[in-house]
Amino acid sequence: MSGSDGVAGSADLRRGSTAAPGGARASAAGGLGRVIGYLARRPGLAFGLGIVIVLAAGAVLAPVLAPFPGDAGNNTNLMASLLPPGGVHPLGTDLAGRDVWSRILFGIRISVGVSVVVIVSSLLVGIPIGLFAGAVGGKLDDLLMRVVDVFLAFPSLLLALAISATLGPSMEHAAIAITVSWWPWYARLMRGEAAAIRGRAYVEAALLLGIPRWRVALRHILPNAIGPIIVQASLDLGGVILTFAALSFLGLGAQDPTPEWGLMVEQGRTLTSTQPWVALFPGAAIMTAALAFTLLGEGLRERLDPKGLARS
Amino acid sequence: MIEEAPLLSIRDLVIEIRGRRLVDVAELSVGRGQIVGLVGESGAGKSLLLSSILGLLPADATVHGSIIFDGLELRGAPDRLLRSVRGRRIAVVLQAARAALTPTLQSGTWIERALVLHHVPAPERRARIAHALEAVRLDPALLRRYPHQLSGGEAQRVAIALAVALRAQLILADEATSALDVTVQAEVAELFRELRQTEGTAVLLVSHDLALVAGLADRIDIIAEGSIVERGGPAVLTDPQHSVTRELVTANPTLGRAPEAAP
Amino acid sequence: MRRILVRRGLQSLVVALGVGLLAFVITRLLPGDAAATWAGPRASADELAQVRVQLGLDRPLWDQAVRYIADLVTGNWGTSIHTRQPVLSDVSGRFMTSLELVTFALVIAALIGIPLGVLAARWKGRPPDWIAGISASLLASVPIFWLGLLLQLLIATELHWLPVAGRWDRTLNAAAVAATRTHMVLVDSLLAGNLTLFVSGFSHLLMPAIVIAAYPIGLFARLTRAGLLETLGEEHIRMARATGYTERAIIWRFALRPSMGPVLSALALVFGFSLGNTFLVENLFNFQGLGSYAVDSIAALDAPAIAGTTILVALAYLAANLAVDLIRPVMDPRLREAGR
Repeated sequence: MSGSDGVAGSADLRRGSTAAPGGARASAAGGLGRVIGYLARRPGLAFGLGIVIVLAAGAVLAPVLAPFPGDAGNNTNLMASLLPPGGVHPLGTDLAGRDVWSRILFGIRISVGVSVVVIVSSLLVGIPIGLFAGAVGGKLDDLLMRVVDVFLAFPSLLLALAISATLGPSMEHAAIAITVSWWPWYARLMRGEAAAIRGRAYVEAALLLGIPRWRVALRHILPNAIGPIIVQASLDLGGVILTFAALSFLGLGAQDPTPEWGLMVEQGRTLTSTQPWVALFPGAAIMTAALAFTLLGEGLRERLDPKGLARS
Repeated sequence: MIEEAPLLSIRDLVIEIRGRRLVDVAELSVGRGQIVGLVGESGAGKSLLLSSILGLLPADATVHGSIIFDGLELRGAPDRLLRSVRGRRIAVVLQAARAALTPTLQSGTWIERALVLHHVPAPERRARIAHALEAVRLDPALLRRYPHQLSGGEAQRVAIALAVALRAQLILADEATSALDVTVQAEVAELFRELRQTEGTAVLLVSHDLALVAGLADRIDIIAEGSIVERGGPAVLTDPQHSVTRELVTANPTLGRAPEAAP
Repeated sequence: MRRILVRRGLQSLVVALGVGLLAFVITRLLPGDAAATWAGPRASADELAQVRVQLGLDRPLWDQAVRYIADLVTGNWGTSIHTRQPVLSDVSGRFMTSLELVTFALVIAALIGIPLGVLAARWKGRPPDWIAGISASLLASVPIFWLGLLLQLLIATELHWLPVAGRWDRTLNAAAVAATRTHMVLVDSLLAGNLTLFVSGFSHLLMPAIVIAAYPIGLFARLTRAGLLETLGEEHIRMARATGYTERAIIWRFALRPSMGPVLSALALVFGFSLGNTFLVENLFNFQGLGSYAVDSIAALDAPAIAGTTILVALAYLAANLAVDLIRPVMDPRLREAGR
C-alpha cells in the first residue's frame, strides 16, 4: 500500500524478516509511557491484560495465597460442609467442606493451564499443515483442505465427547479430545494467509532467486500470518476454557478432587437454590478468565489483525 | 444589463478541521445555467468546499460564512432543509461512478427510489425518467443492470440522469470525469454543455484536469491552499497571472498552448 | 452462478463422504465388541459367531467401510444398541426437536444481535457503542451451563416467570400431546390446533433458547457493527446522503443489506456449532433432543447411534453452509458472477 520504488523487491523481502520497523526507542521510560498511553485509550484491552496478569500471578502464587491449600487436593472436612461465604472462608465451602476460594485459586492452573496446552498443541498441529497446504497449492492443497473441512464439519463438542468417552474420562483425554477438534481452525487460517501471500511478487522473486520453498515459507509467509493467528489463539483460549469446563461439567474431563472450575459447578448443581455459592463462584471464575482472553484477543486485533481474518 | 442574482453565492466561507483552517474563500458564485470550473491540486480544498455546500462535512469540521442557494441560506441550516435541497435542487456526481450507485439495487430502482423520496407522484415518475434518459443518452435497457454491470461512463450517466429527473438546478461534480476513459470524459463534458442548453442546469465542476475544464467552463476559479487565487474565463489558462496558475499550466502538457512567460 | 452451486455441492458431497468415513472409524474404534453387546451377556459362542456374521463384522475392514457408506446412503443407518430402534428414525426424531430449539434460539439471536450491532455502529464511539461491545464480550465468555443454572434459579425458581425445565406442561392433555408428527412442539401444536400446547411449548422453549442465543447475540452484534461501519465508509453511502435520504434510511435501507454477508456466514457456523452442542442445554432443561441421545449413546458405547448422530449433525452443518452460499448472492448482486 505504501509507495513503491525501484527497490520495492528488496524492501518487501526484508519485510519477511524479523526487523522491527521502529528501531530501538530512545529510553525505556519513554517506551513505558507510550504503552500506558496506548492502554489507557483501550479500556477493553487494558482490562483483559490486567486480568490475565492477575490470573498468571494467581496460578503461580496459589500455594501462598490460598488459605486452605490442602482443600485443592485430597483434604475433606465434613464438619465445615456447605458453610456460607464469610469469615475464614471468603467464598464459602462445598459439600465436602473444602474452601471454595482456595480451590478456585488452584483451579487456575488446571482450567487455564490445560487450555494453554491445548491451544499450543492445536497450533503445533494446525500451523504446519496449513502452511504446507497454502505454500504448495494445487491438488495437495485441495485434498488437505477437504480433510480439514471434514474435521470442521464434525460437531466439535460431540467429537470431544466421543473421544473422551472412548479413551476414558480424564483431564488428559479431554485435552486431547479438544485439540483434535480445534486444530483445523488454525490449519485453515494459516492456509488462507499462506495462499494469499504465496501469490505476492516478493515471494515469486524469492523463489526465482533459488531460495528453497521451505525457507520461503518459514521466513516470508509465516511471520506475516502470525498476527491473525495470535489474535485467534487468544480468543480461542477463552473458548477452550469454556469447552474444557463443559466437558468436566459433564463428567468427562477432570475428575474429583481436581479443582477444575467446570467440575466444581457440577458439584454445586443440585444445591443452587439453597447453597448457590458452590456453583456460582466457580462459574464466575470461568467467565472472568474467558472474558479476559476474549478482551485480550479483541484488543490485539487492532494491531495484529486489521483485516479481521481471525474469526469471532 | 440587469445582473440576475447568482444561483449559488458563497461568501466568506471558512472551514476548519481540528484547528486547521483548510478553506478560506472570500467569494464564489455560480449563475443560473453557468458552468464554473474549480481547479487546484490535491489537498487544495476543492472537495471540502463542495461537501460543505450540502452540509456533508465530517462531524469534527466547523464551517463559518454564508452559502446562499436560490435565496436559501444553507450553511448551518437544519437537517430537514438540507435534505430537501440535496438531490432535488442540488445534485451530486462523484468521481467513482460505479461505486457511487447502491450495489444491491438495479440502477433504475435506484433512480426511482430517489424520485419517491422527493415526492414525485407515481404517474409523473415514468415520464421524468424517460425524459432524463433521453437527455443523457442512456439506453433504457441499462436501467435493469446493477452498478457492477455498467461501464464507468454509463454509471456516470445514471447519476446525471437522476439529476435531470429530479430537475436539479445545480450539479456539483466532484472530479466527475477523472476516473473515466478519455473519450468518455469528452462525452460527459459534452453532456454538461447540452444540459445547460436544454435544462438550464448549472454545474460547479471540481477537477484537476485543466484541459477538460478549459474546454467546458464559462469561468475558471483556481484554488490553492484553501483560497481562490485567480479567476476568469478560459483565458486564465492561456495567460495565467498568478504563480500557482502558471505552475499548474506548465505542469499540464495537454493544454496545448504554452504560456507567454515560460520559466 | 449455477457453476458455483454445482462446485460447492460436489465439495459438500466429498466432505459428507469424509464425515461418513470418519464416523465409521469411530464406530470401529469404540471399545467393546459390538457383537457381544448386541447378542447380550448370555449368548453362547455359536450365537456370537452368528451375530458377528449378521452384523458383517467378519468381513475385511475396507469392505465394511464401503458397505457402511452404501448403507448410509440407502437409509440403513443401523440399529441402536441402547434403544433397539433403527438409528435413522431415532436420530431424525430427536434431530427435529433440537432443530426447533436451535432455530428458535438463532431467530432470537438475530432479532437482538443485529439491531444491537446497528446501534453500536450508528453511535460509534459513544455510550451505546461500548455498552454493546461490553455486552457482546460478556455474552461470548459466559459458560452456557452456568448461565442455564443461573437463569433457572432466578427466573424459574425465584420469580416463577418461566417453567424450569421440560418441553411442555406435564399436566396438559397427554393425548393431544402424543399427536407429535414432526417432534417439534410449535409445529405439531399448530397442526393440531392446540393453542394451549403452543403457548406452553413456547414458554418452555424460551429459557433454553436464550441460553443458546447468548453467544450468537454477541457475535452477530459485532459482525453487524463491523460490516456496517465498513459499508458506511463507501462512496455509495456518501451519494445516498447527498441525494437527501435520512440517516436512518441510509443505515437500514442502503447500508445494512450489503453488510450482512459475514453475518450470514456466521449464522451457518453457529447453526452447526449449536446443533452439536445442544446436549448441555438439553441436560439442564430436560429436552429429549439429539444432544441427550448422543450422550446416552456415548455412555452406552452405542456405536451406530453415535455415528448416526454425528453424521446427521455434520450433514445439517453442510446444508446450512450450502444454504448460506445460496442466499448470499441473492442479497448481494455483486456475488452473482462466476468466480466469486
